[in-house]
Amino acid sequence: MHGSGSQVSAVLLGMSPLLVSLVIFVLTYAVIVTEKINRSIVALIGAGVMVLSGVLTQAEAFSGVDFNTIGLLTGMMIIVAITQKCGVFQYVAIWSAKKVEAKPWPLLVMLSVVTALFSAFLDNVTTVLLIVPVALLITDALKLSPYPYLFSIIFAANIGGTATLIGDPPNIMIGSAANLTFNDFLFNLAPIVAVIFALTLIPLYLKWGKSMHATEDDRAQIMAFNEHEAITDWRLLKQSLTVIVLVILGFVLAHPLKLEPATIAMFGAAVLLLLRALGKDGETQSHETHKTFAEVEWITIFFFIGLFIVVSGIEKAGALTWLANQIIQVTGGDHAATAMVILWVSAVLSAVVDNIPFVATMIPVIQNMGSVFGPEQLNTLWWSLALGACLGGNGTLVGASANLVVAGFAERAGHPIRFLPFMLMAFPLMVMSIAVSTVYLYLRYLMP
Amino acid sequence: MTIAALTLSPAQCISSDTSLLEVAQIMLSKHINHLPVCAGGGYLGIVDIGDILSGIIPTAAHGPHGLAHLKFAGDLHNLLISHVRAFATQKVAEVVNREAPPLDADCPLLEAMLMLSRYDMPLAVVDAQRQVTGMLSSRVLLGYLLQQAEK
Repeated sequence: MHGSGSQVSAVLLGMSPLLVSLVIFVLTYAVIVTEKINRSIVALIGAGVMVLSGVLTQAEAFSGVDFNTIGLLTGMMIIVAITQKCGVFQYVAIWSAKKVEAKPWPLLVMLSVVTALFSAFLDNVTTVLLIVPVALLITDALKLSPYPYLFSIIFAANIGGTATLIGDPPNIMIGSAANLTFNDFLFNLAPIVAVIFALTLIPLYLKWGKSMHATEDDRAQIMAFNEHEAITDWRLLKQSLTVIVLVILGFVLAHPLKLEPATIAMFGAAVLLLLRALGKDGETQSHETHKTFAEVEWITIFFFIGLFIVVSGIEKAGALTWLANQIIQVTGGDHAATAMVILWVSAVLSAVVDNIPFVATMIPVIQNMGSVFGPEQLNTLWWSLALGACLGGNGTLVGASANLVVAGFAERAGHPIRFLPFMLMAFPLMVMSIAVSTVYLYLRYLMP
Repeated sequence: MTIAALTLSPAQCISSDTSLLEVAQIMLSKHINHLPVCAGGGYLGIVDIGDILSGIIPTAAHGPHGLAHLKFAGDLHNLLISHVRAFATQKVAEVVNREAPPLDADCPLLEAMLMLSRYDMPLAVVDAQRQVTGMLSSRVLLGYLLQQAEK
């Protein structure tokens, strides 16, 4: 019975499902790009119209949603929402600044390393929200311009997030759709991410690092910081770190344990919520749990749900199979050429538009290429997509949410980051990172 | 009944291009926490002593997602002093609260009470030409009402 709904509506419309789904898809994406209406609302409207127009039944729409991605994102958001309250991230940032005696260039490197590491395991936006205030305080005290630090934090967040399954939403989506594990991402992407990170620091040193200077007096202020005072709740710190370590261990062992990442993240989140609730009365438990759930980025979650449905609409109508065939025709079915097209197109598009809808669309396209390429060859295409979509976000100020969050902080601090000056420095660096990725992909996976 | 029945505090409207250093010195010398700010011959807003202090606090602790506390940073003496010195070049227009509405000289008491409670600071009273004629505080209003209640 459920299956007949789409046919009835399609007949009523009197149009081909392919045309209807493509119009809905293009309109949805066009409105998302204008940023006039909240992206989650647009995606949900697009999803609703896909069902109402008869392209999908409700059952098909629900089955199009990748709940592994949704569960993993939500679980990690809950864990981070609880953990950040204990001040551990500020502790690490201050500790690292003191380790390099608050010397300006080593400080920039250290804060970038810390950002990249956090970003590999946390959402990029959360990472910059935690690190940027500390960076602003330190640069203020050292009487240094915060701009180079904020620039490098943006780059570090986007580069670090590329390294793991959980570092950036596109990777979560790719991992879930392609059945790639945490370890797969770590072994295949982390090495090149480390190289790209190191190479990115060289131009930053030449542009800013050489001329940075802070007086002994000002550095002494930073050395007087007491990082232990940054920890606001030691009990919560122990609970959070224990759960995070176990969750990461769970990701590493997910394959032998036959567990999906969403199960691990959601169970970790539930355990942390339980630990927080123990020993508290019912009212306090409800209040704290309510507050934690309110910190989950529901806009992102519903954006994903809407997008999955919109994309499954055009997928069902056959548009993505057609697109996959077109790409293969253009590249002549050559594996290396296909990987390069995916890498570079992903990077350039992700620099100017949100990489999440792009990746949501590309996933079924690459899956459709399974008829031409073997599983190993398909994996290379997944790595191309991940590298292009994640690193591409560094190209412009609007390339990633983390960039805009940092820009907001910079504006409030009286050091606004302008679109064009940022792009003039950032775009060539992003192109460099994609060029390095090209060499890496070729040498590791494509060389005959 | 309107606020015309109340005895307003005298107010000196300062120009929007007055430096923050001068504003701070006026507040300290006159033992006041608020000053009306004027521009183009009319009322612009109110500057609060808290706005001046906010300018000394590092921006890292301002706004949403700013640092929740600064206990770990000690007193940051050099930084605070450098921020105070910067007051000499900063204009009051940069920190003035433009949301605080002026009250008309014939504003009803109830409306004045609502505005004082909503903005939680003394408000400027202006004449028909938007010239500031005085400041009305919750203290003056409450004192008047208590007097009326005792009659």
